[in-house]
Amino acid sequence: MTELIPLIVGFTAGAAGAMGLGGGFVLVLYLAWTGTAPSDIRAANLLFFIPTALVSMIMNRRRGLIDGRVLPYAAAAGSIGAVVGLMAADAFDTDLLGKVFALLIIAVGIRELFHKRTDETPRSLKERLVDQQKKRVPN
Amino acid sequence: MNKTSKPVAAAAGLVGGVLNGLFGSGGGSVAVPILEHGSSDAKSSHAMAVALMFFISIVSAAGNIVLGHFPIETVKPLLPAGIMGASAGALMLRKVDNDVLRRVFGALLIYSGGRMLLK
Repeated sequence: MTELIPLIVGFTAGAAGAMGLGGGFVLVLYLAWTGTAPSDIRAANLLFFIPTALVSMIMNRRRGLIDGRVLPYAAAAGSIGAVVGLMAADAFDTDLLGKVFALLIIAVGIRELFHKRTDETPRSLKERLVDQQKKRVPN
Repeated sequence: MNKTSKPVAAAAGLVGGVLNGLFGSGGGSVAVPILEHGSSDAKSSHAMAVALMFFISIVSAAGNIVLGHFPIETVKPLLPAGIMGASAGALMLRKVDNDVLRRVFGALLIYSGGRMLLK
């Protein structure tokens, strides 16, 4: 049974990561449970994400979910940002910044969780059935 | 697929990159809403954020390797299942409802933020 745990963790983290849901949270919990050092957890999370994100990126590009026209701009800005962030990590109190960041992502999370449905969002089956019934029985 | 403008994509990249560099992860959690702001399609925003985080993670991982952190032996046993999971996740992303995707993402962000606050 214990041999299955890395498979389940790997699969779940890969799937969540590929969907842009942050698969790291599964991996970090597992690695902390196995007694991995925090600095290695951070690096392992990145090393795991690279090949799984590559698979996701190739599949999503084929299905037209990625705009290849703007991706180079995002990737270039992101790479510069990552270098700036790595250098700034030594200069700032990342513990305090981490708490501010935590509050920010909680606020974003609340906004996403309780957002109003948009017109672009596919409607539920129930809503579509109600519309069909209205068409069949004109007032 | 809804079109994202170049400045919005660059802004998502820059903010996501800086946050990932600072904290080692979490850049995608802010990149997704920035991309959503420029494109109302949640699926495209998530797919773009994963692609963006792929490039950012290469830079961040290189930084970690320079600092002497290269725990490839820790990652190796997880990778085969991870690749299969990534394929399944990419297939699910295409089929999932945009509304459900946003709500699940929101719930996970609140959980992750709560964990970071209590650390």
